[in-house]
Amino acid sequence: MPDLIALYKSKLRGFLNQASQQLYENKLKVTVISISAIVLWAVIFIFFYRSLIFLRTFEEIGNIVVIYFLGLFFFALGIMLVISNAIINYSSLYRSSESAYLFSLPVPAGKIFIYRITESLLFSSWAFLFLGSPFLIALGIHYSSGWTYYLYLVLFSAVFIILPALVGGLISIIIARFLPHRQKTVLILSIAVIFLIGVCFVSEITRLEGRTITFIISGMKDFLERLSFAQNPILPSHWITRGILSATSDASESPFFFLLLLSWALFLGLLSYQTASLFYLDGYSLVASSTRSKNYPAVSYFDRVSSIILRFLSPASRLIVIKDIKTLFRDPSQWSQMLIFFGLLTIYFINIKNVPYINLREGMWQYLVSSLNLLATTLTLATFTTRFIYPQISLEGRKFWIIGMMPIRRKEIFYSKFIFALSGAIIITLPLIFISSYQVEVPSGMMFQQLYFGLIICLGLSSIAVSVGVLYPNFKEDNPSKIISGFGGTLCLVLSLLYLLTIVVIGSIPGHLYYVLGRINSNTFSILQIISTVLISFGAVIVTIISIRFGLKSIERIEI
Amino acid sequence: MLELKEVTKYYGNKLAVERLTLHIPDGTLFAFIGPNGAGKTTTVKMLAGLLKPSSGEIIINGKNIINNSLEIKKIISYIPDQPFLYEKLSGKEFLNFIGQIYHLPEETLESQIARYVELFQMSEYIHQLIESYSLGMKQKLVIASSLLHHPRLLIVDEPLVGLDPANVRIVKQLFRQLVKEGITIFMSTHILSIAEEIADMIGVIHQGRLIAQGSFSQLKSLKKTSPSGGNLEDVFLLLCEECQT
Repeated sequence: MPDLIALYKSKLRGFLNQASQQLYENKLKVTVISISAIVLWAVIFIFFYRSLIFLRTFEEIGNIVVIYFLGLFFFALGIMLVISNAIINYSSLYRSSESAYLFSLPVPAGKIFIYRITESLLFSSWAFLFLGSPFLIALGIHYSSGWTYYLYLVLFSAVFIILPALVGGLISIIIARFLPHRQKTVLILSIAVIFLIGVCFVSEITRLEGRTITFIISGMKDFLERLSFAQNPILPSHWITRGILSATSDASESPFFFLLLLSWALFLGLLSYQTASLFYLDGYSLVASSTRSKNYPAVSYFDRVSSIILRFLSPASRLIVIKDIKTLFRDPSQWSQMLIFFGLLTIYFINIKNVPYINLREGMWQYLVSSLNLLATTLTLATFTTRFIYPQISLEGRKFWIIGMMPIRRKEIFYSKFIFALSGAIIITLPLIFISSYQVEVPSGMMFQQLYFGLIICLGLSSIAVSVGVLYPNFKEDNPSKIISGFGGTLCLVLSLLYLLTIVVIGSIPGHLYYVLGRINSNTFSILQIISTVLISFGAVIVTIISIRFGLKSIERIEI
Repeated sequence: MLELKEVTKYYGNKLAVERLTLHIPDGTLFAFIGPNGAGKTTTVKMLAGLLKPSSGEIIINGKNIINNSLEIKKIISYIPDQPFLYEKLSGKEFLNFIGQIYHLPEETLESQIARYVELFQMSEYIHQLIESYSLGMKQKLVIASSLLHHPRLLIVDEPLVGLDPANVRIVKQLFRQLVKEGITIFMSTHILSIAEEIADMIGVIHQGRLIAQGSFSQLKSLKKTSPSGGNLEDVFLLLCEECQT
């Protein structure tokens, strides 16, 4: 135990040193990030609080929706945390220089494992704590819960995030020990399995039952029934849902479900500790001893095709873009999550016509569904530009001198990163928005508007991610998950979400007034649409120009 | 102190170290030299317990490293070629951390830290964050941290990289002093002049195989390089050339 305490103490000391250093050296940066984070938190809180008030108007069904939503929220969160913990843990347990260093010290492998997964747990779960807390606090206020609710909220959340971290850690240990040369195969198979589960889920909720009915309560109940898998009593997501819901009133069930969750956390903790004690060092040695023997041709087919497509770029910029694409695609752990999420969105959009509870021939539903689809696509895009584009400059790391010393201007390096980000974002986002609009059969004007909004969102998000990446690079870290968990990553996510939400909100006002509330006529609607589109375009151009100017200034100042 | 018996290591299908056998007695400075990719770092990592041999045995202080890794790690120290440091800790905090990991009593730890801070002239910056250190400053800190617990075996991979001439001399003298105190040092290096100057025994590894070992004079007698006898570089290059042919 003393060595585990010494490890945690050193990590805490390092964190405190870093925090005080940031507060001392970058007061403005810390203030801007803190204020932006508080504003974003407040916006999410208000959104959820207003949604809960809206749901209350449906009385019985409103409460059921909250229960199902909470169950689904924790179910999806649990799965995502297991995936991200498994990926982060693998890299942190087997690929980091810190793990190698710790193995040279007289610290048992089980303790190194516990120490390392604690770090991964914090890296993978901060987003849940930041984005999930507004909803859960809004729930407590909505139900006028007492202080015990908030106490249970903290206890349940703390124990709940431990479970996926332990499961992810166990998965990493087993893969490294028993399949050390099959990491890519395991990853691809896992993606396939998760994808299939997702496809089953999407097809289940969009299954046509030979009728097209309007949004009625019985239809909603039927719909919710299909989400009942998240309420399965053997799932930890069910335990936390029941425990938290009980805490909103008399908390009679909360102690039982909390202890149930805690007992599993302790059991998995013991199991993973013992497994790590047995297999971690062996697995480390096996992974370190595995080599990649594949030969890559000096100039591949991909290089030739990319060179033709990217002909509009200067030769140096083209080379940087091709290098970035190759680097990204040769590491499946980097893009696998993107594939799952965008793949599932595609399947969902293709099947959207089959959702039996909404009438897509009604203008209101066409507008609502296509707008929500746009929001879902671009929200996913915002998380991925933060995840993949923001760390691009940081990932150059100490190798930045290679491109820094090239006989090209640094602004070309910046623009090549920007082009890489923008093309990727457009290739993913616009076809999805088109599929959604086509399937929902929106009028062509609305489709073009959605595509236009998608395009300028891509433009803004790419410029924000590249520029913040240049403004706040972290050249000392080679793990992207850790890079995005720092100040810069948080700022990038917060700015991206604020930008995106601003565009979607302004863009939705005319449609909301016309289709949903029916307060304006078609002429006023058209005028408001033009005004909102002009406003959005103006805002997007300003944001893009400011971001790019900041980025260009900063890249000139980068010193390694 | 250190014994390797027929140690072999594969990376996938690639043979990195082949049937390496060594016996290094207590209080010996053993220099391990070889060209790039010869298997030096792999051997060092196996000695430090980071890699397991594909076959063969590594015995440290009479115990097999595979079965007694934790016990052995308490009496050895490993300095890698690219040492890891907690950049957001100060040098003093890092040394305290290492002392706590090795369960050193507070008084011993303080006196040891004071000794090495003075020896390596680190007092000016020991309370600053490690991230602000130069390569040489970091290297001195790593060497100091590795000696805090009085290891019986010191395994070092390129220990003098980044050090200025004054500190190179300090480290050379320190290593000789440690050897006099009975500590065994296994040093992998590319700097042949250092190996020639301070090593008691030298092992030459080439393409995973130990091609020669002994004191410098023994190695010199193996290969007649020039009328004056030549230096370790001449001997080393001749040995490697012979192996290639």
